[in-house]
Amino acid sequence: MDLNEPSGSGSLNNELEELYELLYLLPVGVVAFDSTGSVTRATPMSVQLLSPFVGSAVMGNAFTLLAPLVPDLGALVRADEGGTVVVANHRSRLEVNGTVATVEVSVHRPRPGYYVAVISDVTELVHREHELSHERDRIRLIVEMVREYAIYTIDRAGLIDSWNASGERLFGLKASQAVGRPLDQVVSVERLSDVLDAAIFAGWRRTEGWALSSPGETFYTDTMISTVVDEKGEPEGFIIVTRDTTEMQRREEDLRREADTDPLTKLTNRRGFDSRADRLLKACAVNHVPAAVLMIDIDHFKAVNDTHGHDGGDIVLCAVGAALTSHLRTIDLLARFGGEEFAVLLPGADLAAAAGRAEALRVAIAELVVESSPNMVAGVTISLGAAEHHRALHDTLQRADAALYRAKSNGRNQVVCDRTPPQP
Amino acid sequence: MEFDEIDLYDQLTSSSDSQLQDTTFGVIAMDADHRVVMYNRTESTRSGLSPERVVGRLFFSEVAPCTNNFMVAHRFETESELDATIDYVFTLRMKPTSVRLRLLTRRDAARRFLLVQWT
Repeated sequence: MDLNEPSGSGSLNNELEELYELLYLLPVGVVAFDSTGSVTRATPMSVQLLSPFVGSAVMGNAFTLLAPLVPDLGALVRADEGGTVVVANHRSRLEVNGTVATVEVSVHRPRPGYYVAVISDVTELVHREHELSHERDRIRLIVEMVREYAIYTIDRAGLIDSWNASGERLFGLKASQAVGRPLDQVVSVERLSDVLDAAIFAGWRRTEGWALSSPGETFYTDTMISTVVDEKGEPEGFIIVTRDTTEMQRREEDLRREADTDPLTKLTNRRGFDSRADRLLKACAVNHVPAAVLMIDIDHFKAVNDTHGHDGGDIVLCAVGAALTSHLRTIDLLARFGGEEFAVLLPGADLAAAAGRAEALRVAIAELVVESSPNMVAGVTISLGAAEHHRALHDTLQRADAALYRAKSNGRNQVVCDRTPPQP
Repeated sequence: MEFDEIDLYDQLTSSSDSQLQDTTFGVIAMDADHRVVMYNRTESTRSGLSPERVVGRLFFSEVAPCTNNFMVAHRFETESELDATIDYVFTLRMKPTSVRLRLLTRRDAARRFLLVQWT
């Protein structure tokens, strides 16, 4: 062994070898070249990445080598005015004979006349990014395109912190007008902080109520508040979905009204009378005012049907209904109970007042002339039974009905009052 | 021994490793798994890697990933009889160099050869 051999020369070779090895195995393409494009050094990965697209013959010149990525690299280098970055993270999708790759290149100039290109295969990365952005686009599309819904977010304090086209459509508010407002200024929420606490506790909370749109229209809303938690599980905000349920509400109301209406006379039917009478009587009780009921029956209606036909009979029924309505106050409740029988609830009327009102109705109908068909007129009379309300509606109705029966048997076209004293 | 000789495979397999050290072209011998079994001096000098560092490693993945493609590795993996010469670029000591590669193997052969000639 030559002891004069410079110590460390062996280890120097070893280190150089390690450097070679590192560069041979480097998973990134690195190409060093001068201002004419002549390649001085390059890692194998640069060949591996680019040779499918440029062929192996052109490795000697960086401008040709990188042409598929940066076609004007030569011009860029010639025009370089001393910046350290000539090309920054430039991505290209390369395709040759079915080989597809997305390659990203940056070209740096560490010192004048010395250029280093760094080339990486970002195919997988781009693929993942694409999938992610696709997903984002899809969600954004759903959020923005939904009709009748607004999807937006509020922060932990209940202030709106994101707003989009769906909210603009539903509320008529621009993002600049909506962001920063508390939720309960856009939809009706009772005790916002309590509702948010409940939403945090259960994960979600639903609330219904009227909302006011920017053009000043009220609409009925159904709002879902879902809690969003951060990575530690702490609530950081809420996703809000508000739906315009006005139409649904209106349809329900229409259905209810239809179920409570007599289709022939358009008066309230028995069902509607029962539910509305209940409310009216409660209001009377609360205000300590009396109430009375009239039971009304058209006299000899069978004869009307026989003479004028069923269509004529229907016309008479409608005419009587309309005449009764016109002689009643709007707070009075008139209903057709079926056949030729009607009932009226008179809030605020005691028996004497009810008797007076009943008499007025009797006179009005006796004077009524109905054109039952083009060449025929019909005149009808009614019998009425009046009873003052004491305790239960069905009892009052029964007493009024009994009085009506007496009016009938006494010769019709008259009013009979129920005089039964209130039961203890 | 010349790079282009027709019976080169037989010449290589009938020579001892020491006889193959100073050929005019680089000689890389691999086993059936493509593990390097011999890396000759000519190739070692060119690449800057000593045989000790290379022998025993999987050539296409652990030594020269730039050959791990359809032009070189794929052919060794899929063709049992192979004698093909292709133009290629090696970045020996990171210097892009045009080379000719000769891919040599026979059915059930103990050794496969990748030969490198500088042009």
